[in-house]
Amino acid sequence: MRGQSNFTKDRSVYWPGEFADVVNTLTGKSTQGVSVGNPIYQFNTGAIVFAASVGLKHKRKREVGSDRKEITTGTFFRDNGLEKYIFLIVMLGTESAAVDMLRVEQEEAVIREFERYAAGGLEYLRAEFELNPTQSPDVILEKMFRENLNIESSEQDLPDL
Amino acid sequence: MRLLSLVISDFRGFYGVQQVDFAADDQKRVTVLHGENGAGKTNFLNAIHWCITGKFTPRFQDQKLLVNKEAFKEGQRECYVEILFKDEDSSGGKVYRVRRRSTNDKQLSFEVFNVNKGNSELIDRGESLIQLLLPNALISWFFFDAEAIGSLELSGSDEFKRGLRKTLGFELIDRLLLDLESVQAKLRRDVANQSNDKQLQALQADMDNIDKVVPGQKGTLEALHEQIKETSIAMAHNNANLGKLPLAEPLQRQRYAEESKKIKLEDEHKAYSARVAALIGRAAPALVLKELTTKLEGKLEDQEVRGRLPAPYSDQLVKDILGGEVCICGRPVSEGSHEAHKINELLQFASTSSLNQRISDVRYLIRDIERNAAEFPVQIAEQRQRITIIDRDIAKCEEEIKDLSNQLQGIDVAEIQKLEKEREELKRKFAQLHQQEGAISLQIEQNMKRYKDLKAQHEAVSRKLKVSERLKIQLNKVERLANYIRRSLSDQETRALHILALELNSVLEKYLTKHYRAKINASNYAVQLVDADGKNVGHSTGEGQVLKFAFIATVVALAAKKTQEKIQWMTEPTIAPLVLDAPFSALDPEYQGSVAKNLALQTTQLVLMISSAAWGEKVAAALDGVIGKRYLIISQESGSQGSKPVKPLSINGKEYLLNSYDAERTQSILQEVQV
Repeated sequence: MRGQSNFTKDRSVYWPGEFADVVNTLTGKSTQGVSVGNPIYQFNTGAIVFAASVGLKHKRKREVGSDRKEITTGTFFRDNGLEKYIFLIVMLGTESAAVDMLRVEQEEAVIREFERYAAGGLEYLRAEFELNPTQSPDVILEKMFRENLNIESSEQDLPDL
Repeated sequence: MRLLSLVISDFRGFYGVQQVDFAADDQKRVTVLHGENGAGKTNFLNAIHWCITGKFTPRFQDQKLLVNKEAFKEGQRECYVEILFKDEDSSGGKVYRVRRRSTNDKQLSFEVFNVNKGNSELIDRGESLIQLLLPNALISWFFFDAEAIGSLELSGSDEFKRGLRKTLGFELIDRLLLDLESVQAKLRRDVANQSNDKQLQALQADMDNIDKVVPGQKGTLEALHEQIKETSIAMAHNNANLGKLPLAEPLQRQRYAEESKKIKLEDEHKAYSARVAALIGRAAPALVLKELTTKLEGKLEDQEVRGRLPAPYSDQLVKDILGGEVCICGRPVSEGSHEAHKINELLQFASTSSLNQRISDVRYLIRDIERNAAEFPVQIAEQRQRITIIDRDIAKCEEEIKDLSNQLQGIDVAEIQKLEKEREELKRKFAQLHQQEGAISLQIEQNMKRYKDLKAQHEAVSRKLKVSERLKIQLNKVERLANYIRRSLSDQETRALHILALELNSVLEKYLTKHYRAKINASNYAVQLVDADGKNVGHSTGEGQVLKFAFIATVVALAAKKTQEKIQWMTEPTIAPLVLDAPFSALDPEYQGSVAKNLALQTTQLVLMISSAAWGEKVAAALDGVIGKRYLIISQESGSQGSKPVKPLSINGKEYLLNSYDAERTQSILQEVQV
């Protein structure tokens, strides 16, 4: 998967440390970070991209805060082919000038917006996991998809280009 | 260690005092003991194993019946085995005598004597000397029950990896790293004390607590591993014993097959579940975003149709106009003019190569999402369906096993009922031990992870504090040393496995008719046999059995540093005899000769216990010229012959009998045959 980065330089993506338990659940680890189950994602990067997708879908955004964890775009995002999701998610969530979000000058702003969706998505996912404490995360996610697929989204969900 | 002789007294089938002198010459280094099944080959191997280690090989049954039965009837209550050997590494080649005595219930003594000019002098701490000459980790390789070669696990179990690491001498390096960690911990403690910082001291206290707890947990885990191993062996014995009883045999065979099937199905269940989880992970963003991306794609296409995507002019055009100070219509655009300012504003809407690239990337991603959103649910459903079928098959197996167990328990034979009861207890114990093993492994892992986090915090905090430069330098030195050793250990490990593979492949190249080679997985040490296309051949094939023999011989040669390339950092070379019980019977006749030849070549001394069926012309020819001593293990029966057969053995044209009837007593006799 290693290829040229979509970003002009290595940039840091932050996510709230308070949701480490949610990220651990998605990466098949216990609260202490020890492997306990089948991982849905091998690395935190995959979990964060998924969380941002959930945040966007459910219109949940929040600031990362001071207790934060870091992932670098130049390694994990690029190596796993996930950098493009950062742009896409922000584009999908922007009310106007969506294509202009892809301009070089917007890189930092795009990443901050992506982080907000990821933080919101993690919060949403924690609530989902807490609602179903006896079910494995893959089963909870499948249930979420089934529910999501039945929801018709309105035109207002879309950004104006 | 080179074996010189063995004296055996009233041990198992061997009545009275009997002696074997071993071939101990560099040229003639092979001793062969010929004996039929049940004659006492396994007893002979265990006499050596027990005398040196105090333990028996896994297949050795009835360990509480050591004293010869005939001698016991005559009032004899103890047995002993005595081995004379030479330590060629010592100056002058010291000779030692090891002697172990026991009754059926308990060991009476273990003594090691230094033999000098015919005088035997008792040595203090003889056990330590033996440990030094033949480390525990190597014993099972040097004294090998080859009849059980089928159970030699080369597929990379934790136990196999642990054993091989010890064999290759890495255990010492692991211990060194542990010692360095203790030194680091002490220095960190000094930093905390010197700085008098409360946060640092609290972190240090937490780390000290983990330091205190983990060794105990690791000890418990090690003990559990031993118990699990012992219970597995006991379960295998129980299964074998049930299989020997005519009434139980067919049911036991079916149950064993069902249990094996269930294990396979459970493994499949795990593999499919892991696959489903990974698929869900890959599908998740696509399924969540699909509706939004479909509409975005529509909008992008609309923009494209209207000629707005990409933008109808590029940044380069704007730059060219500004640089040339002339508009495309021919009007001047001088620097700083109102026109130049207006044209410059167009830059923010111009298409650029990076913008176009990103738009194109996003559109590809949208297409991926659409395809994945359509394909993944189908794939996930297929895998889930497969899991449902597996679960159903597991349930069927469980019912079948239960039914077969009920039938077995219902047979009105005391022996079967006893074995079934024992089996149930062993199964319960096995499950409990596994549960305990899982729990303690998790605790250790959690503690190690926490320790790592605390260490990182400790380092971050201590960097900011004022502590003596000397302490900082010391800590830094130890850390660098530990890191250097870790890196070197990893390199050595890779090299050791490389040498092991090289040696194995040189043996396979010489002796196999097919173009097969061995591959060793560096992460779990699994040894695979692959064909010319790299396809796994499996260990159960004739060639797979050759691989196992080649593996034993290579490990022994590596331990003795007898291979062409040597592993650095290993413990001192271990030169010891390879004692093999009943080799070759598990082998394809095609390979028996070449395996025998390889074993003789790779070892400094070889003791083979072999049946007439496995002693063919090829084996005889392969060992021709290297056999220094030869014995028969004659099985004598006190009962009459009736219609029972007599087993002859032909050696160099002369015929010998390996069993006889109407003897004074039932016993095994060791009789030398002149080479």
